[in-house]
Amino acid sequence: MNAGPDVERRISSWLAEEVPTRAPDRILPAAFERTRHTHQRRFGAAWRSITMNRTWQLATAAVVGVLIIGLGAVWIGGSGGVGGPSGPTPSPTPAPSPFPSSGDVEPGTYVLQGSGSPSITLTMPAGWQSDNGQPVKNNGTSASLTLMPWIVSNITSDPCQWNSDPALSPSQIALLEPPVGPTVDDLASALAKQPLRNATTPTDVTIDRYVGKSLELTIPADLDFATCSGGFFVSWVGATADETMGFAGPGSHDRVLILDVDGVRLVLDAIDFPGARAGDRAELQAIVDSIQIEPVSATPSASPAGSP
Amino acid sequence: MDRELVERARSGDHDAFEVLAAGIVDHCYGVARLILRDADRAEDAAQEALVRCWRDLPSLREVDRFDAWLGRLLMRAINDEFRRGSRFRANITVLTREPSTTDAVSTAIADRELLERGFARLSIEHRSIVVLRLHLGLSVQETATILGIPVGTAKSRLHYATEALRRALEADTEPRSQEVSA
Repeated sequence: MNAGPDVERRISSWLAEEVPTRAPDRILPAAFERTRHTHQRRFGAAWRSITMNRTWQLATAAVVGVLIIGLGAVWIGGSGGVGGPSGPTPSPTPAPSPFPSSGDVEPGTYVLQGSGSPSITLTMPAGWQSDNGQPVKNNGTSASLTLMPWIVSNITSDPCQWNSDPALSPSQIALLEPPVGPTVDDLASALAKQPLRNATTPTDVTIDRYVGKSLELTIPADLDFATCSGGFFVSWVGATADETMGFAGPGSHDRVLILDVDGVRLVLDAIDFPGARAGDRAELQAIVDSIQIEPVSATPSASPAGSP
Repeated sequence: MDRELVERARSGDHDAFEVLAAGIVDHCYGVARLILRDADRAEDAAQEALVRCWRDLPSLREVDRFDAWLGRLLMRAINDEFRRGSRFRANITVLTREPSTTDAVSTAIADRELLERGFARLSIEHRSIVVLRLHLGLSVQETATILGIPVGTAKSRLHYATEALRRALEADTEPRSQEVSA
């Protein structure tokens, strides 16, 4: 379907109304203060308007491919010893693609991975999109579902009055004191007691081969979001306080899976918003059921797996 | 674009650069403001683009391509600013699912609200292409060059973005019963 010229005209008109005609006066003095102390770069490749032609792209791709295959061969060969006997070549298993950062997601198997977090392989049905690298299903209306991986470091003491700063500074988030402990049970029981979440009792769950706890959270349908900090409802923060998410309306439902992945506490938050269709909820469940998890091989760093 | 100013600035004349910068700062800020949707961050991105412009001007061999070159610098500065502050802010808005109440307001105001909401949900890449194509009126080829992407990708991103905004505009007119059909 084509958005059409009328939509483009409306977007153009809106942008023309929105654009400021004049920059704040302080930008230039601030920039000049820096440029007066900045040496110009007089080396390196010049920028040209020439775009890479197709042949060169293919050649580059081929070289990169050879390098990867070569390095792979060295790495694989290393495990068997240099010059060792070569056994039958196993048929290659197609590697799942990295989950796209935006746009429509073709049906298939993908890997969601953040720095230092377990990698999550999942199978996506048709009709889903990526919103900043997270699976989302939008129906063009208020109905929507999403799946978000997290490394949760702490929860808010009150998800509505969660920030004392009108500008919502991450440093002013009202977090639980003392902070949530490090185990799966610690986080599950803290969320179960969090105000305004109407949590279910945590139950045992196993995803792939990793055990943990599952609980369901909702937001009261009659909660007046205008009374919440910034109009948002915030339950937890990621590895650092500037990694969080806020709900902007009542009635959403979270199924929270908290897993111990070889010492890393991985949280999978499967959210459906009011108006989500039953079929879409079933798709979200199927995605969760398809999840396979690979632990972090290196030292885990605290970063949310699905953060944009 | 004043070719002589660019050449003088490129050869290290800071006075010339100041005149050049004064002529482009409104444009840089305006584009950054549209894409980032935040005045403070747009200021930072515009300032950063100007600093990089000064620093990297000697690498510009084709002075006639200054506008496209500057566009590319600006988009990088905007992207960097977005990435720097996006984790908190993007997530804070990503879950916005408020029902719209536009019955009593004009279509123009309703459009603004719906577009604002739809635009905020676009990725930085999609916002950028919408601004370059539909606000600055650049061709797909020019847009692709500034963004450093193939023309086909530019077309695809524009299609996705305008479709998303069309859906945002139409969402308010769809019967609510369709939203909850199960």
